[in-house]
Amino acid sequence: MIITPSQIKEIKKEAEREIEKAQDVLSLDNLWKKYLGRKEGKMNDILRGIKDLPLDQRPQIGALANQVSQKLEEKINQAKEKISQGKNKSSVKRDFTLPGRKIDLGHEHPLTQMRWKVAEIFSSLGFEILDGPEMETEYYNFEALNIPDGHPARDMWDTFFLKGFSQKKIKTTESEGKLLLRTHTSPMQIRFMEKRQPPLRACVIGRCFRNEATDVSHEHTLYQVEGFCVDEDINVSNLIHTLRSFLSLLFGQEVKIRLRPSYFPFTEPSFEVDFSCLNCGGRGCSVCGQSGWVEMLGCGMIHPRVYEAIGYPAGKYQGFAFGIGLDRLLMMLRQIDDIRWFHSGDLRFIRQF
Amino acid sequence: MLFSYNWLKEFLPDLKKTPQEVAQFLNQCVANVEKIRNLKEEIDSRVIVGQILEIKKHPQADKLNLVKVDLGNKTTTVVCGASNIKEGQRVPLAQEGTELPSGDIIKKVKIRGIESRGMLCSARELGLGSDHQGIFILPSDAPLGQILVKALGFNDYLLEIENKSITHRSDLFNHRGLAREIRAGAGKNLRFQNLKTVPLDTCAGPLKLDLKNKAPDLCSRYLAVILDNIRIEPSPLVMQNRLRNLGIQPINNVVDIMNYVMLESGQPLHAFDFDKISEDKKQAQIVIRRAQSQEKMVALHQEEHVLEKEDLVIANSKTPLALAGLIGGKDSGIDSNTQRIVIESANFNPINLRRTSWRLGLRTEAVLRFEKGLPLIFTESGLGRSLYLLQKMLGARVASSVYNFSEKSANKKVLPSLLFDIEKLEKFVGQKIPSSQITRILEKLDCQVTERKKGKLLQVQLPLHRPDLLAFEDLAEEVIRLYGLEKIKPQPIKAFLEPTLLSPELKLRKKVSQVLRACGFDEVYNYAFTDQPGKVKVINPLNSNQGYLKKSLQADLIKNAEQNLANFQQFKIFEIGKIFDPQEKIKIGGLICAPEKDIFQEAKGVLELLWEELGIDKQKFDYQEKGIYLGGKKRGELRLVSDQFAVFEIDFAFLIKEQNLVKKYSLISPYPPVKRDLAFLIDQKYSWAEIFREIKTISPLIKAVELFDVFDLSDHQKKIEGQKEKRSLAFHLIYQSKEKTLESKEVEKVQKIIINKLKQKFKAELRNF
Ligand SMILES: [Zn+2]
Repeated sequence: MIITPSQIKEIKKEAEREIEKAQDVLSLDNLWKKYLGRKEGKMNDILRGIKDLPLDQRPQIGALANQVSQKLEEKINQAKEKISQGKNKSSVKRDFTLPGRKIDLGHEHPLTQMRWKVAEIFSSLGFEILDGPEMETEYYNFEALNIPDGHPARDMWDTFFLKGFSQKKIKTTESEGKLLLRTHTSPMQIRFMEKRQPPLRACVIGRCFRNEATDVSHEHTLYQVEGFCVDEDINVSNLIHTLRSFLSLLFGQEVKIRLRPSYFPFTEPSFEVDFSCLNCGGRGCSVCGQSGWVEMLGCGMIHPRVYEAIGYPAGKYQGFAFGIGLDRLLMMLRQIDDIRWFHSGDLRFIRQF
Repeated sequence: MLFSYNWLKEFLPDLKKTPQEVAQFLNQCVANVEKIRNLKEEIDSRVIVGQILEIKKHPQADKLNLVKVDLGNKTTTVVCGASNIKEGQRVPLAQEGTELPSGDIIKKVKIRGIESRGMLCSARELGLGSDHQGIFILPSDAPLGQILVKALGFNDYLLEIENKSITHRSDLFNHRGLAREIRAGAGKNLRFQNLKTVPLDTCAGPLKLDLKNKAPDLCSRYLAVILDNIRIEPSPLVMQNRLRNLGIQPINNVVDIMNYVMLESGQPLHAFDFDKISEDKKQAQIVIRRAQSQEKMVALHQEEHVLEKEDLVIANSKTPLALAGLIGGKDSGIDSNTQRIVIESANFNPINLRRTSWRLGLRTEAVLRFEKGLPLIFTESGLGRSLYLLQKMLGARVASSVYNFSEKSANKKVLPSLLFDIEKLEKFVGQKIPSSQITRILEKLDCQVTERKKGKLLQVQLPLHRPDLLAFEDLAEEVIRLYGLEKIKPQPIKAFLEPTLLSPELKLRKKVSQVLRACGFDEVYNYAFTDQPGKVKVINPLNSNQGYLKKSLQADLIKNAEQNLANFQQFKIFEIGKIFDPQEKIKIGGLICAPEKDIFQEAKGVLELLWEELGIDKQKFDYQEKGIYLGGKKRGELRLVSDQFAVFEIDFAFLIKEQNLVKKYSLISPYPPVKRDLAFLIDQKYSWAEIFREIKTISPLIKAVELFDVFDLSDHQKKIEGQKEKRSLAFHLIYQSKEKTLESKEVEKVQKIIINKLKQKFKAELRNF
């Protein structure tokens, strides 16, 4: 059997004419059998015949035959679709209000979303994003942060203490004191600075633990964002600028902030930061307790004793640090009524975000 | 801590600021004011002072009394069940219509047939502290018929300051200290009314103390003096009111003065009964020493404390008289017969005192102050002030000189001065604060300031009441807060900006979450705690269900799933969380709940998609009943919990190493693929993985082997076909060459090899469709 390209083209033309004429699906099915069917299909005959052609002709003819087969298959399908659509159009009017087919995509936990949002902002401000261990030692959680044993500031944090059954495996030395669950993300200030020299800026986002009973607004498991920036001349005005930028970027609008003196052992001076209530624009409402300001954040200039614990030369560096409760921030932003939803595992809650 | 606005005004007679304005200043420049309370509004004005005229038994009830009360211009009878009342006492009477702090409203009621018009109230019922022992007995000079709020001196505002915001300011836990701050914040120089005191060096008398300090490291200063001519009585109403309003229960004139001085000028004081502690009525011994191990002391309230070696006691030659700074002993305290007293004014080691206090559960007002490290000067001013009040109010007489133990380092008459660098402050704040302003601020805080080096440095002599000012940063804080934080202009950080990329760990977290969510998984958070014994124990858990840290995420995921079944029929959840084994590790946990689906295969499909997305060859994983292995190491688990749930838990860390996020492009063949199907009956003991590997090695032309149908033969078929323990496997084979269009001859040849090989190796039988 001799097969030429024109022969194939001829078959194609003929088939196309017939496809165009076909009025229903059945006749299209028959056309498929006639041209593409495995037993009597004309194109299949050709494909089967290729093996008998001279070697040098095989690739060219083979490729062409395949191409035409595909084309015809496509044409037949298109024609079929046209016919079935035409049917729908003529007989039933499409109800455009019917819901689309339901497609499921999983939901990211709202706290994770918040973590990414915060990470994105601080990344853009040049801060490295860290997490760090949740099991900590007394040294990193307290002592190195200028909270020595017996200091009344320790009362600020109710702590869970731990006992590991193979202490050796959990890296802790005698001098690092008892094992505990970190009560704040601040130990990472120490761990990070021990490894690095200024200039540095980093943002720690992670889980912390407080040994206190849970209720609507208290959790023993909470999430914190900690930021710090150290160089030779980082100052209070930089701190204010950074916090204002962060809050403005987070809320997507210009935010006014106000600092008030406070006390944290690892910063001196220490401040509480309020921002102008977004709900009422500062006029006073239930969200801000009628004050026009929302208290959200603690910060200050890193205490010289912290640098001393790390081993930085005395007096060389200046820097700031701040901490925010992520859960409380999210609760305020989304007006969530009960902090315990976050760890409820309840999909009625999670699927809303 | 609570502060009385009226009391603050006694120090600052010219203060024009309202309580709200004072609170605003404190908030901006000193510390967090949590609340302003208007006392007048706290108790209904229908509660008035009455006097009990007569108490009779209720005819129908043993435990109730009929109490006739004189209200000044009328009398009334109420039914009352309290047992602490006596005729002649003055008591608060809530008249009809009174709304109590609890929200209850007093109505005219009949109690067992007798009409009761009003109610006698306990302190707690009126919202005045926790005392619920009986009716609140008022001082006998409380004016009859007067509105209680007025009689109690409630024409005052209380400012509640958050203690933790002044942890570093031991000088502020009293009214004098806070008044100093308010003065410092005032625009012009406010007159400051100093307290009247008795100069300690004027004290003298015949009685003697033998004072021995055997623990100077725990008590750096101890002052004591003896007074006689003491007559114990209730203290005047004004003083009682003040104490009560600020949360301290009035007891008697001597004890009340001790507490009053503490609230006023910050020094906790203690009074002993001289005659109870002395042996010969002329001299008493006071020994400051460490307790003996297991030594016992019975305290004021009859409670026995077992002491340890590091606890500090005040003792005489025989026995402990008091736990230093914490609580007095039962046998040394003031009672109604006390005639002579010893007043103690001391400074104890904060850390040691705090430790004892926590161990014994004695968190008193005194410890609250001692543990912050009080200024040493307070011992003198506090003692002098108490002597003044004792003389004036009781007519007490100093009967000895002041005995004084001062440790060398505690004996300084001045604090060291600091050199304050003005340029350094500019660098620290980020803007210049004029040096004249710095000087003015520091002077307002009672520092003496002298310019040095042409005004570049300030020599700052610190006041004795500010031992917290130790370094540059401390002084900087003082200047900044009183200068006004709002005056500091925000300025961007000027520094070399290193590019910061997300860590591989965070990137992987993001990726895993994306893949799982695309598969329809919702993310849950669970606690780190569990009741299942694990490798890390919580020494002080919140409750017994949280005694350990978890070593697997699975239990909580299953719990989540069970709870969600109440609202959802099918769902998928995941968590990227920590486990403690005992090292802290991140795990990826997942659970699928979908009735009528092969959830195990679905979960495996999710994992395979994850491997594919992370660029890890899924064929490298070995799935066994015990776990999922890669390179011989267990990397996770996949199991059916029940017909309902399939769970998986995968290590996170190894993925960082194994992942290959650079996808490789492989040339797409221009030649058409050829598809063939095959089906075999094969003994179940052969796994698909073995068969798959076998097929793949047969020819490079086999591009893909896709299993599309697996079924175990039904019993019926087994009988007919005589096949036991066999299953049918059907799969597509995709052949393709990169060099040419495959001929069917070539494909058939490979097909034959496959059939033979499977027959030979696995005794596989070819099936027809
Ligand atoms: Zn508001």
